[in-house]
Amino acid sequence: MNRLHRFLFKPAPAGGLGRARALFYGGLFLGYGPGSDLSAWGAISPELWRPVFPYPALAGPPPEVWLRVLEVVFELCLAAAALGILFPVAGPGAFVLGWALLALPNQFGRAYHVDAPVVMLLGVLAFSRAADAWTLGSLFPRVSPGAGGKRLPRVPDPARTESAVGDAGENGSLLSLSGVERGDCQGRISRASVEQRECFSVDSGSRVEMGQSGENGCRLSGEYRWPVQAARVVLCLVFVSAGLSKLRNAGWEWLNPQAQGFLLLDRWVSSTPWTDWGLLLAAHPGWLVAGAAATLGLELLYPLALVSRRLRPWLAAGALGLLLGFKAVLGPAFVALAFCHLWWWPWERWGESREGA
Amino acid sequence: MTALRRALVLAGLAVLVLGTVHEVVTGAEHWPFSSYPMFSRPLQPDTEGGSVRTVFRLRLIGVTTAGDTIPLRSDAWLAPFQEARLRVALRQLEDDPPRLRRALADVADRYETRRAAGRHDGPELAAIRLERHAWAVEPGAEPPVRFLGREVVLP
Repeated sequence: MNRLHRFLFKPAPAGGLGRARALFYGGLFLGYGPGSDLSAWGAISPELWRPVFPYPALAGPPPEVWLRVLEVVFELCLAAAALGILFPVAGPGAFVLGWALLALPNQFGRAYHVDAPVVMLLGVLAFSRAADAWTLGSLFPRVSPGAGGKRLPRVPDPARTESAVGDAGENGSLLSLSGVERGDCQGRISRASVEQRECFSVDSGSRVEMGQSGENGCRLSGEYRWPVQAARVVLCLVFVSAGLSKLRNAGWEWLNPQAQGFLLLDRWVSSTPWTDWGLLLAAHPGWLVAGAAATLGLELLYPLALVSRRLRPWLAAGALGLLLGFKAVLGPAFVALAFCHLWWWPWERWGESREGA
Repeated sequence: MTALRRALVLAGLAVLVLGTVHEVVTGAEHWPFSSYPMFSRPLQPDTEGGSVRTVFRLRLIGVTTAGDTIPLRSDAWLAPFQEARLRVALRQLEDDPPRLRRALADVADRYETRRAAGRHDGPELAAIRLERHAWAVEPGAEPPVRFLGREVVLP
């Protein structure tokens, strides 16, 4: 249990989660925002309507005009969440409306899964404090004084920080250049400058190695770690489920080169893969077995990325390569799932090196 | 973080994990939960010990005002559908010709409405029809795919 708590709640800086949040919602806004026309599903003939969860009670698609209104609100929620504005409303709003709107295409024909991880991640973030940093309010505090979470007092003289000493508490703590914000923690701030906006280097003992100056305090809390870890768990669920489904539905027969050859040719006929490499692969049983084994192995081993920092970049890059390969030889494009891999990037360290430079 | 908040986070994560485990074990589909079964079922040859498999696919065909036929596969022409999703949806109506006819009329109306609005540059269509095409596929054969012909499902 302690390991699980450390995995989920070890204090982390607000900035890493804030950056990932801004990118994630910003990317979703570009993908599902103006131009995506989700409301068009409301105009489809009820003859093609095959409702599944969460629309089983409806006899046909909701009216297009209602969907248009919901779509506009959804886009506003995504934009606001990306900017960190009114996140307690925008986050849950994006989740609920995203679930309703992104589920809509799956009520026609059959359910597809390309957007499902996105909805789960929206659900994770909806209840997080992902907008405590990297918000519009923190960039322009005079314009939006209420945004950006709790603001700590500005300290004009960075030299004062040299004497601030302490540890981040187990439950997280707020540190500022003027020393320790909360009475239950002590910290040692070893370096600071007025240009540095945030500082995040926490070892396993939750010791703060760097301090922060400027407008915001250096926030460390489990609140900023669990959403990232939960997002990674969601990605692991997707891949390991795909691997287990193959074993459940086909067993090791899934590695049969003849079956894989049929699959590639079937997809070449019926779908729109980027390349005709499937035709070439289908003629080489050895390549087929190797490709199928690599796919299955990657999907089943993907969760190791949660616990192994060394394997993490390889597994994440391998998964992205796999999704690219699917498009190249099988046809379907898992753009949203590939985009969600931004959650593997160590944003807190990226920020530290950039800002410390 | 308070203990209550931690407990809520753990409960939420448990819902995600157990929901997915349920889908994997049962093969059910409660979107957004899924077992992600895409391509998980191996394709078998037509006969035991054989090496040929026949692939059947529905194709949506447009008949232009000039009398030419064109396959309707472009996302822009079929929006908001993509071809694969529309094909599956139409296949489910194959045993119900009146409903299939209404569904095809809907597809044709939307194509023309979007074309008139300048949202795609497809040709003007006089008719739309659904065909069932068959291919023989054989890994390693030369050529690996042989077109077996088409059957018009609806004029």
